[in-house]
Amino acid sequence: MSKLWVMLAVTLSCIVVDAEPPARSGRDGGREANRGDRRTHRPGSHFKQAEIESLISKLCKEIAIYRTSCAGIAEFSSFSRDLQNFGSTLSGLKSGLGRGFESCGPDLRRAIREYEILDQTFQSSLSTHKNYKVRLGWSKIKTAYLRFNFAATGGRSL
Amino acid sequence: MFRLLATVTLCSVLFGQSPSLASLNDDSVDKEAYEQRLAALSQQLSEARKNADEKARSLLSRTNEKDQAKLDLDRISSVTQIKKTSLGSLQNANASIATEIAENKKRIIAQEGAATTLSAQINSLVAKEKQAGEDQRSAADDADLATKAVNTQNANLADIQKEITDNQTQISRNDTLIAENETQLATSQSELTDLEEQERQLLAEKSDIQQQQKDLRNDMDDIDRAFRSLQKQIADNDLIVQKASDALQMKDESIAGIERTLEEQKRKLADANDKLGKETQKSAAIAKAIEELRKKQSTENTNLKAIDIENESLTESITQSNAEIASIDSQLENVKTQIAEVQSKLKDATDKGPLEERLMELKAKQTELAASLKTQRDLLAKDKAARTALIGKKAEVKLRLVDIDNQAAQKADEQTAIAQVIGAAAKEEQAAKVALDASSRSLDKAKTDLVAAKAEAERLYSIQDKLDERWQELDGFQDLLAKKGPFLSTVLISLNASLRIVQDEALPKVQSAETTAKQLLADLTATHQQLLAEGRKLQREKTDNTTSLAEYQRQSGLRAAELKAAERIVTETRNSLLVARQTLAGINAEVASLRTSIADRDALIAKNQIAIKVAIDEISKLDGQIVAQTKVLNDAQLAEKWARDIWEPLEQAAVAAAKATDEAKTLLASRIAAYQKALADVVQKAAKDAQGPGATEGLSGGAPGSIAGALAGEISWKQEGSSQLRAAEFAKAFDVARAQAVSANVIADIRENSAQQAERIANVSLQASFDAGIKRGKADGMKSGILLGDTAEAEKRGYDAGYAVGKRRVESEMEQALRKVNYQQREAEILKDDPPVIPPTREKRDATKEQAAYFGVSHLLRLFQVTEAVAADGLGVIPASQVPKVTYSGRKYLDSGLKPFHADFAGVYRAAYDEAYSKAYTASYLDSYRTQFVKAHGDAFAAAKAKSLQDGFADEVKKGTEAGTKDGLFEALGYNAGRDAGLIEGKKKGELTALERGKSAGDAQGYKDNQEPARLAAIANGRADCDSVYRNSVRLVAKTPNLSLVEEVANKRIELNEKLSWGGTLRNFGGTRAEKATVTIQVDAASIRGVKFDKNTITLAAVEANSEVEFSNLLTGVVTPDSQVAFKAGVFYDSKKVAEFAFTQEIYAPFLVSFSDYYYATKSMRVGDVGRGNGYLNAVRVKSLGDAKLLDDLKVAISLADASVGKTSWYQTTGEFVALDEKATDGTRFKGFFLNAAASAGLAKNKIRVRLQNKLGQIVFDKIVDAPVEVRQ
Repeated sequence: MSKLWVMLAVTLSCIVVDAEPPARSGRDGGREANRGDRRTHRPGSHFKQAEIESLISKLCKEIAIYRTSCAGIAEFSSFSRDLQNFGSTLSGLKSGLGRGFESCGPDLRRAIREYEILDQTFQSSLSTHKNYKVRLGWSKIKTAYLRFNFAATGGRSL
Repeated sequence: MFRLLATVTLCSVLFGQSPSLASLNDDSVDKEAYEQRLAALSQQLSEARKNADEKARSLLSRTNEKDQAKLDLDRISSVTQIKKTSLGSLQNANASIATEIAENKKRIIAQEGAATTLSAQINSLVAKEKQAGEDQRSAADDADLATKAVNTQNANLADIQKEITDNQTQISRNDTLIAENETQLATSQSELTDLEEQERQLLAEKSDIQQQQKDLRNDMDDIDRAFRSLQKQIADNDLIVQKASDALQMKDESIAGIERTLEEQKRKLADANDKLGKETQKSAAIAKAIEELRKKQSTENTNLKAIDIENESLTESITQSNAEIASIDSQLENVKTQIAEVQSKLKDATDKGPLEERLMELKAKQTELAASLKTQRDLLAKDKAARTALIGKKAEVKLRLVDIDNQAAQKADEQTAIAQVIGAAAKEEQAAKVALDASSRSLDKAKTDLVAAKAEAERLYSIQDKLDERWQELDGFQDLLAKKGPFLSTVLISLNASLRIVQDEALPKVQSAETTAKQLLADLTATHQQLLAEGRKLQREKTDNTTSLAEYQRQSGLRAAELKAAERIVTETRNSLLVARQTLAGINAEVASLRTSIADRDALIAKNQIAIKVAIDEISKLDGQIVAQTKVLNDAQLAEKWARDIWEPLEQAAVAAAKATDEAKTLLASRIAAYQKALADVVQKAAKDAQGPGATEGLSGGAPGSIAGALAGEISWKQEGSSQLRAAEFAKAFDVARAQAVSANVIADIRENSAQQAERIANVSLQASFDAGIKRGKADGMKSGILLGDTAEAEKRGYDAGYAVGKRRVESEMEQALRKVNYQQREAEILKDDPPVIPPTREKRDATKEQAAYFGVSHLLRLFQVTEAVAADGLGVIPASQVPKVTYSGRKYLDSGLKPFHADFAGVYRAAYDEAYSKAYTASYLDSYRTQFVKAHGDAFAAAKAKSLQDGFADEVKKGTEAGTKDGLFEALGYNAGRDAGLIEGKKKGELTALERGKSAGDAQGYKDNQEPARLAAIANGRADCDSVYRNSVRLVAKTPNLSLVEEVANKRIELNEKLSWGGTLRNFGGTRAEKATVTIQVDAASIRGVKFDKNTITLAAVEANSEVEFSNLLTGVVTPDSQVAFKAGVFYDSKKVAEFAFTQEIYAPFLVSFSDYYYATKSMRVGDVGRGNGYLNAVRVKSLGDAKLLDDLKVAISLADASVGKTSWYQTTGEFVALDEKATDGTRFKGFFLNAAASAGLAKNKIRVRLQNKLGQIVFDKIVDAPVEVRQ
């Protein structure tokens, strides 16, 4: 009788075990997830940190040159302050890169937003300025920014 | 007769006494005896006089008449005499006047001679004055010419200087322009270079981008190939991995089966163990129960023995109690017997006291025994009951002992059965252990196989991961390349834009600017050279003119000195002329006066002649009157003679008596006179005796008088007599010496030493000269200094300093905007003098010393005044008080043997002698003093004058020369010092001018150059301040401007009576935590609409530093009847509002409201005409979007948004609600109304406010709805 009970219990246990999916380790689960997301692209993954930092430096340098060369132009003063703030944001982003690119998302988004506002401002008030320096400087900053943006975002909008 | 007798008697007496009186007149003087005798004679005389007086009155009247006549005669005679005298007087006057006239004529002749001489002198002086005036005018003209020449030269110099300044200014401007142009050129060149460099870079970048575009396609092809290869590898690897995974799963399942078997065996072993344990426990429990039963048995036996012992005790106690009861019964019977006996005795006994006491004792004993008996009986009953109970208890114990024996036997049987079961369980346990060991070994083997399989699977997984990573990498690259194309195009567009700006605009512009700047610079350089040449020429002219100016100034000085000398001569000549003219005028006036006097006197003589004639006539008349009056007088004299004849004898007697008295009086008077005379003689003698010696002693005043006079004479000469001449000599010498000294010392260019400085400070005059020199020298030095100081080097320094100032200024301006508070704080400290900018100097001075000094001056002044007063007294008269006291050095009293003698005479003599001596001494002293003083004064004055005239005031010349030399020296010293100072000051001024000029330019440039850096620095500072403040404070803000609404249902609608909850996010940007209860949310009660909050104020817990907290249920409430929910809520930190939330949302009313023609629901509202009052029927329609029952009992109110459009037929003005009681086929409720249009304007855009009210009277809809109106006929 007791043997019968034991067999019955073992049979039930097997049924229960078969009914549940096999336990998967976290690594397996993660691997499966990664395989299902092969086309995801991590921003900045194709550019080295030093490369992005270099592009930020170039952009900051262009900003500084632009501000200095247009320092005496009255209409430029407000724009220059905004440019300075943009430069500060870029500097902050550059220093933040040291902690890893993943943590710089907010700073990067902020920099992009500030650039877009600056571009709008420039287009609305300074794009037809008679002094060529005002337009040339911004054109050069725009080129530098495009390089930085492409390196930092891979051409994706964040 | 009697009278005669009396008279005779009296005479005899008188005469009789005369010898005795006379006898007293000897060397002694006895006036007292004479006085007594005179009194007796006076009495006798009064009687004689009475008689004589009666007759004398009669004689007197006759005499009066005669006297009257005589008086008349005398009067007439007097008048005549007067007239004659007057006549003589007039004649004498005329003679005197004639004499005077003759003398005056002589004097006129003499004065006219003197006037002629003086006129000649005046003419000479006038000629001299004219000459001197001409000389002066000539000198003045020369001086004017010299001054004009100096001024002209100065003007020329000023013009040249102005030209130099203008030239320098032009050079400066030119330099500035050159510098600006050079800067511009440099800037242009730099800009050009920079632009060329930029162009090169841009072209390089463009080339690079174009190359990247070319490379992009190849890259993309490579990536595609790589993708395909990788895809194949991944598929192969996936198959291998699948196999390995299946094998691994099988091994896992095998292990799981073994583990389950092992678990079953373990469970069996455990069951066997449990069973064995349980049986063992049962056995132990039975053994324990048996043991307990044995213990109970023993206990019951013990109880039984105790019961037996107690039973025996109770039995013995009962026996004893029975014996006690029997004893007490017998005692009680005895007592009763005794009581009966006593009671019987008591009946018979007379003395019942003892018996009654005995009876009482017995009764008490009886009672006591009865109680004891009762007690013993109770004890007996109790013991009997206890013994009965013990018997029962003993039976129970025996029963229990039987029961325990039965139980013990049963437990022993059970113990035996359990021992058998334990043996069987031990066997089962052993079998289970063997099976378990076998299963464990199988499990270990299966696990080892599983580990090996897992390792293989891991290897395969890692390969798969690498392939995945490669896939992702390739994917990323592909993605990147896909986006790189547009990126490169965008960059190229940007680069092309930059290139266009550089090539088409910037480069031509900068090149043009460079060319212009070069051309301009060349022009400016040429101008600069030209200006420099002009500047050199002007400097040469300036040097020449400066030399000429010095010569002109020297000549001007000489001309000025000559003019001064000429002016002095003119002044002196004019003074002499004035004196001579005054003298001549005096003579002329005197001559005129004399002539006038002569004329007056001639007139007077003529007048006197007339008066003389009148007087002669009057005298003739008066002579006639005298003859007549002489006759009257003769008659009166005769009458008087008769009266006199009667009176005379009597009068003679009285006269005799009176004579006697008078003689006596005379005698007495002579005696008194003798006494007085003698006394006077004594005094006179004493005075005479003292006069000589006193006067002799008084002669001692001569010597001091002489000394004082001589001194005063000299002083007088010095002070008065020679002062004018001395002053003139002094001034002359002074001026000459001064002019020479000034000129020489200025040329020598000497400087003042310390001794000279001290001397100057002590001397007001020298100080004044020095000051004048300083003023003049400073002015000259200043002019030269300004020219010397205004240099290019100074201007350069000024520029540098100004540049720094400009830089600081702009920095300060920028800083001030952010750091004004510090400035104000420091300013407040300065104003409070804490700490002071410069500690004040404190001086302590003793005022009493200053008073002493003042006293000294005043004292000296007073002494000076005294001396001056003595010196001014040139008459040698000194007050008696200054006469030295008399010494009586020559006093010799000659009072012995005085005759006549009287006792008073000796004392009087001595007193008179002393007085006379003193007076003689004082008078003699004053006289001799005055005499000698006057003499000495005159001699000294004359001698001093003669000596001065002889010496020619060489001392004054010397002094004047010395003083003039010194004065000139100090003026020169002042001039030189002033010139030095002026030169320095002028240099400074010139330098300052250049500095200021440079500073101004530098400041502007410094400000301009540093404006942007300073602004940036100020911004950086401001930002740093802001960071610091934030780091050290709570800075709470609402993360989002509005609260987020969390609804219970997800339909996003707010409906009536719905419960709502809002959440919000607060951000603390500050580096300090906002403590608990410091942050509150407060709803503005006035802003609440359509909601009732549970709480209007919510207090929050702490908000950490640098944190962001998202709050839920920040506000909760229920929707109340209204058209919308709206409110404002503030976020407060420490009672200060730091943020504000605002929320507005329409309360959802599921109604669709429209306006239409009443009859055509699909058409808009209409009106027939405009302004004529004809209304058309229109309707408001309401459709429920939810439950149709919502329309039940619904009421509507409408009002035109713009009342000027017109009006509706009902509730237009009152706004009352009416029931929506008309139903359409589609379930819509509507209500008709007439609309009258007042104007066409606004009809097409008409709007109507609609409010709907439910049956509870709550507003469920309140909106303005479009209600366009058409005009249709």
